[in-house]
Amino acid sequence: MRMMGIAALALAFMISAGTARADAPRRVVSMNLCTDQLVLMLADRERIASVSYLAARPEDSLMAGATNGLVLNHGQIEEVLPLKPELAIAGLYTTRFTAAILRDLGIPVLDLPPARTFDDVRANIRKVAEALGVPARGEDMITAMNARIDRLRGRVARAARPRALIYRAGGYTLGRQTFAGELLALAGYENAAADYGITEWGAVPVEAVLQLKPDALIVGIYRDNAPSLARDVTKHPALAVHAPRVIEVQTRHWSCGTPAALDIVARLIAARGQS
Amino acid sequence: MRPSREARAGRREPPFGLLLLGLAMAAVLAGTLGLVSERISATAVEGFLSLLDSDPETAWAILTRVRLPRVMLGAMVGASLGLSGAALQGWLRNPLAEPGLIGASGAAALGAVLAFYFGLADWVQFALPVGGVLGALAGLGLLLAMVGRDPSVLTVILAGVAVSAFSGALTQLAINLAPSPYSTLEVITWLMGSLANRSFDHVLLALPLTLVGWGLLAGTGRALDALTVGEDAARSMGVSLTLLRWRIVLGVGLSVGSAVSVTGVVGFVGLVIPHLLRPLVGYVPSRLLPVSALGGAAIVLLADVAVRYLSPGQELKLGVVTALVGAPFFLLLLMDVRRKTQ
Repeated sequence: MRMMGIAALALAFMISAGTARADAPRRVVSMNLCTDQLVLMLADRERIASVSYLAARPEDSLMAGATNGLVLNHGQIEEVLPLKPELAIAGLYTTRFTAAILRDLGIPVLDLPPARTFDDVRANIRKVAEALGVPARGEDMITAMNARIDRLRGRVARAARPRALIYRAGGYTLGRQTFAGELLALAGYENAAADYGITEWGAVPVEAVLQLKPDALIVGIYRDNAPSLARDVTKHPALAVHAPRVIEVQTRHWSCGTPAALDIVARLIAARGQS
Repeated sequence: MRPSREARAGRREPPFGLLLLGLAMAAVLAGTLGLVSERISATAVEGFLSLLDSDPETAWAILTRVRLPRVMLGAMVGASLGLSGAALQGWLRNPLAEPGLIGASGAAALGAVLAFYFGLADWVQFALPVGGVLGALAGLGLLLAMVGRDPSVLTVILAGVAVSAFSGALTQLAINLAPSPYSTLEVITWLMGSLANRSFDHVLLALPLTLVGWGLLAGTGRALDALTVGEDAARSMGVSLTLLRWRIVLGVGLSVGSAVSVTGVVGFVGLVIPHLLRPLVGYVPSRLLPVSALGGAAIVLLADVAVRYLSPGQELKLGVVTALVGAPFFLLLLMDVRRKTQ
């Protein structure tokens, strides 16, 4: 998995066309797992002052290998201020307190909304690339992502669309209007959560899964080794009754909208080919 | 000692056998409802009874693999709570004693959470109920140490509050330090108490220790009857109070501990059920035990049907519902106790 992160990084450097503008911020601090990964893909390494500690965790981040030697922050103002950031990037719903203080102190802060669609991903890439002073790199990244999306779409264009249900700890599922749902659709699956009336996020009891009879259960695994009571639900013996194909997926692949999430689409396409 | 026949004849109470039969039937009925009750929330999911026609295979799978373990677990947990409540109230001669209120449930939850997050439950599955039981026993031990030789109504409840608060704080500490942020949400939802999505694995996990606990509690009837006339009188009748204490502490610890470890905390059943049923058995503790076990099973099964009807889709947690009904009952009871002691 770490290899994949490194591959994504290498790809990011390959498409890193153009150098940063003269007025580009020199000390960039990112405080959110998702913005971290975009910053690591787009910014010149020497301009990154710090990313969040989550970015360095291989179980959370696809770019953990790229954080070696970087200062890691926990989104605390005490950690961020001494770095004298010229630009801070935060998630729209996280570290609000720190972001507000930085703004008060006159430090530019970019709030990035979470991406739910590939259009959101494109918009976020543009915003981050623009703020980092490397708009051309952003456009290159988007072009590469679009090309890959087209290739993946071509692979499933005429295939049948199996019904899949994303099933996570506690019996929760993700519907069409989520980034994971978007990835599922791109891989050529119908999202069975829609048949249960869920378009965004919600719980599906085991007995409803039996009735929905999905062809595949996509089990989101957060951390392989972390014990979790709710994992029991995804292992309920009754789920085997209709013998759906079980595809295990590390949730770090769909938790953030970045081009690297397309790796998961390739995996989901490969998994359906085995039937 | 049982009140004399004359004393009991004055009150209108149903024959004991009939009462047992009625409660057993209520439990079976509630269980049957739990097996077949409709729960329609969304487009492609049918209610169970219509599914029986359109897709009998799936209906059968749902019945045997999802609903049956759920109902069995509900009956087990309800019986454990009712029985424990009746035994504790008889032993402490305290109408407010209850596994939840005296802190045994909270301590059991702490034990189960610890067993889980130290990875013991991955290692040996049986660690979960054992953790719950050890937690409950530790909570009861702490309670007894605080109460000492003065089990007055208020001391027991106050000590119970202390045990609950302490085990609650430690549980929150465990959640705080949990290895995965998702576990925070997870433990909090689990602590609310629920029978949803349980399988036979859970039944088998909880059953052995629960049965031992029931056995211990069922044998306390005679001693509890003797205790109604006071400790000295009971002793003179040959009742060993030490033995009784061990039986009850172990029995409650085993049955409540293993119940909590698979369903989370379902509160107030042990308080309400013995209370409602006590007049019907002529205030005889030994008769209250089996009656409370059956009544507890019936009420938990009914509550579990209710959560499915009340809010399909976003299912209410069982423990939340029992607490919503039980807490006002507790307040009423408290006012009653205060009036009587004034």
